[in-house]
Amino acid sequence: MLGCPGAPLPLTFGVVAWSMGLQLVLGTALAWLLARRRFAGRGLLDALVTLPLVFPPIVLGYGLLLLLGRQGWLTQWLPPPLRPEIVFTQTGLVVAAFVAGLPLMVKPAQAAFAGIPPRLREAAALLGHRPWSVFWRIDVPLARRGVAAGLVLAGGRGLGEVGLSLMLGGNIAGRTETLSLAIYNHVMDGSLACANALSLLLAGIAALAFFVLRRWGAL
Amino acid sequence: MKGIFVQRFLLACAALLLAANAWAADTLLVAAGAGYRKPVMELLEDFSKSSGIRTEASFGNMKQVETQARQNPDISLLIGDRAFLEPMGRAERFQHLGTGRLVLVTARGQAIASLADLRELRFKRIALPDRTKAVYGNAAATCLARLGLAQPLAERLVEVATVPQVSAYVATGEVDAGFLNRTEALALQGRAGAAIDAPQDCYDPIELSVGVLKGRAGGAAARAFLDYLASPAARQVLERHGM
Repeated sequence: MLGCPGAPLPLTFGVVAWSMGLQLVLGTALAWLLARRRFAGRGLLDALVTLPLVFPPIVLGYGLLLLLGRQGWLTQWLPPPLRPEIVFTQTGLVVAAFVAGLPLMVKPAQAAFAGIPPRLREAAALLGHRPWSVFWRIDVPLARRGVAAGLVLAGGRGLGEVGLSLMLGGNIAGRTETLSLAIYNHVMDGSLACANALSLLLAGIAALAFFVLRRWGAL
Repeated sequence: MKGIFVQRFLLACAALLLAANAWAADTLLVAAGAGYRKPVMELLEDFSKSSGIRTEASFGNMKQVETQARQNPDISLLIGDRAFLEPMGRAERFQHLGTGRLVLVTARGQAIASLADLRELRFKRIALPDRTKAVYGNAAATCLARLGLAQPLAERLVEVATVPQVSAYVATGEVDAGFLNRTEALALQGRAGAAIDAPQDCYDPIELSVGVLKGRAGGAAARAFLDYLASPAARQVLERHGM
């Protein structure tokens, strides 16, 4: 594309795909938990999930660096062979995109789960369905719009992630340079043609996401 | 009565704005290599105090500095390696500032005797600045190539944008060693492990210079700063930072 380095594209799509996969599994689980169950610490969990929505991304990214880096507060308790390599790797970028998109995934999904009338689930249980079956046959079909909307929002957020990715990824050309970071680098280097091309690409994807969400009535 | 008062008030405001505009024109704007942030900030502060001229600086690797110079017409001086600045073709003359030295610093707890020790597997991550856009990235890459270490270390090199980034990662232990300049190496003392100078013959000499940009306003402020740089006070600051 205009002779711009192509490495950011497969990297970014890989990162967003992985983070959306995590959102789908973990995000939906968290949303279901927050919608259905009352437990000690529920308020804290809710706050932690919502935090990335309001917290400055750079500060959050720095915090994650302190937690997950080589001398990180969380990682240093593990024996050296088991310590995961997060900073400077694609894993770090996936963590960044996941954390950034989590509140956007959980909140719509949580609202969708909470909006399902309890009597439907009770009726299913009375007809003999186990809880897992109730989840797949009642909750999921009725909440799928909310979950899907959350997924698209989280994916879009992950695509545009800069602050957290910068801290955890290090913005290393060819290794942890996402599309958004590539645009920043091109502007800083004065390669405006590349910056324009990549910006149009990202804007196009965002516009697509916007129309899809509109169509689903989520926006 | 009130009408005249308002009129005079507005005239005074207009006069103040015009005067402020003139003051603003007497600001010195400098773009410098990020590895020289500390000494340049100190020099500019010292110069500001003695001359009363406002100074501002922006930092980045040489490519970023060039972009800044191109896009911001208020920048009058560039500071960096002459070998990088001269090909840009934007400066009308250069003033020598000092000699740059490439240094390798290890993270706390890691010892090193010579650059060849980097082959050892305990150096899992070695950081260096961008090899095409940064002065010391270029020097580090040249040095590794000349010492025959480029291939063996290829997988373990972490290339970041600027010298201060390398410094930050060495200080936090995210990398096991990093290539920096003497200025940043001095600033890291106490927060890092060992520091060794790269042998002089393994990289091309780095001549630190100030480039005066062609056709820029603020010429008087720029000239005053260049005069200041030749003074003993400025020399002291530079020496203290290893230049």
